[in-house]
Amino acid sequence: MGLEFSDSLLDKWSCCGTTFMKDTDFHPWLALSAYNLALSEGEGRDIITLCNGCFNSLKEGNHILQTNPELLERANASISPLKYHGGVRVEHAMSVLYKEIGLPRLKLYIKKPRPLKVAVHYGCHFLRPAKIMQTDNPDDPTTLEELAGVTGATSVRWKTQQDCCGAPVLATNEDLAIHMISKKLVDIMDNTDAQCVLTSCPFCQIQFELHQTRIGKMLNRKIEIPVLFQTQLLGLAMDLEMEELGFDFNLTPVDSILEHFKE
Amino acid sequence: MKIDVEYHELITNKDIDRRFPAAVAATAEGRGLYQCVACGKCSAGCPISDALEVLPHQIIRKAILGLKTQVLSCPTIWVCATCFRCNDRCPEQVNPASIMFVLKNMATDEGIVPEGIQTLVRSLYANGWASTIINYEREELNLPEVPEANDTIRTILDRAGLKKKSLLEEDKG
Repeated sequence: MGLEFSDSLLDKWSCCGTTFMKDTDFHPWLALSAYNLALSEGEGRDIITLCNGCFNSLKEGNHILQTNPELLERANASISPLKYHGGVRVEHAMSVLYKEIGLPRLKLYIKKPRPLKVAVHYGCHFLRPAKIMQTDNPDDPTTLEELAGVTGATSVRWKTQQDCCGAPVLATNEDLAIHMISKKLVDIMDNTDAQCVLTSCPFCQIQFELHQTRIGKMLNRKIEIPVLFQTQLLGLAMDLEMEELGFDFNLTPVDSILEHFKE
Repeated sequence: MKIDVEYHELITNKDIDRRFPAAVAATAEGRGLYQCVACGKCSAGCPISDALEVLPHQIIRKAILGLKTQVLSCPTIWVCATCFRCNDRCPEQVNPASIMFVLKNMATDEGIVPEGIQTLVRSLYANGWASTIINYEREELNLPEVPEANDTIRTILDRAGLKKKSLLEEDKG
C-alpha cells in the first residue's frame, strides 16, 4: 500500500507514559513524548500507532511541544543529547487507512467480502480532544464504520457507542471500570443484532474481552460476544494468513466469525 | 406555608486557599479555570456522572473558590476516565479534563496517589514499560524479543524531576 515501516528504533522506544504518567507528573510525561518523537525525527519518520492511548499521549504531547517553546526547551533538556524540533506527525493506523490509503484503494485488497453485522467501538482517545486529535467528528464519527464496510460488514447503531469503555479507570477503581464496560456490552447484546465487536485500541480490546465472564456472573446472565481488533477483520477479508492475524490471543471465542471466512 | 431549606455546609475562611486557583490557572493545562460559568455541560455529558458524588463542574467550582483540601482529596479527580468529552463540549474552553490532570498532579505533590497508579509508574521506572511484556508470546508471532531495560528512560525521568517520593516509595507513611 505504499507504506514503509522501520523497526530500527525497537530497542530504543520508551513507553508513552499515557494517562498514568500525565496524571501524576506532567513534565516527565512530556519528556517521554519528546524522547519518542525525537527518535522518529532523527530517522526522518512519522509515527503510526495501533493504540488510542499511545495515539492520544503522543499527539497531545506533540501538540504541546510544537506550540509551547518553553515546554519544548524544558523537555529537550531532559532528553539531551537528543533534541526534538517539532517535525513529526502522529497518526492512528485506522486514520491512515481511511484518509491516506483511502477506501477505493483498500477495496482492491479485499478478496472475501462478508455481510457481517458488527458493532464498532472507537475509543475516546481516537476522537478526543477533537481539536488536537483531528480524526473525525467526535459526536458522529464514520471512519470505523466505513472501514468495516469495505469488508462487506454492516455496522449496527447502539446508544452507548460513544461512551468510554472504562479502561483508564481500571487502575483507580476496578468496580467502576467494570460497571462502565458492562453497560456497553449489555447494550450491544440486548439492543442490536451485532455478531461481534470491533475495536481499534488494545486497551479497549482488553476491557471488552477480559470481563465478559465476570459481568455475566454479576448480572446472572450470559454475556458472550466475540471481540475482534479492526485489523483482524480487514485481514480476514484480505485473505491474509491466519497465523498472522493473531486469533490465538483473543480472549473471547471468535470461531463464529472465522466460520464465515472458510471459503 | 413551610418551606424546607437544605443547608449546605458553610465554607469558612480557613477552608480557602486563595493561591490555589491561581496556581491551577498558571499551568499550561489549567489556564481555562476562571472561564467556567458553571453551566454543567461537562457533568451532563460525563460517562461516569452516575457514579460520582462530586461532579466535574462542582470540582471546577470548588477549585475556583480555593477549596484546595476538598478538591485534592476528592476521588472524582482520580476516576476521571479522561475521555475528553467535557473538553470538547465546554462552551467556555475551560477544558475540565485537562484541569483534572493538573489537580491530580497537585494531589501527587501532596502525596495522594492511588496504589494502582503508583504500580504503573514504578514498573515504568524499573523496566521502561508500564505493563509486563511476555517474550514467548512475541516469539510465537515471529517478533524479536524486547530488549532489557536500559538506563535511558530512568535518566530522562530523573532529569525531568520525577516525583520519586510520591510515586516510587512503597510506604509514604
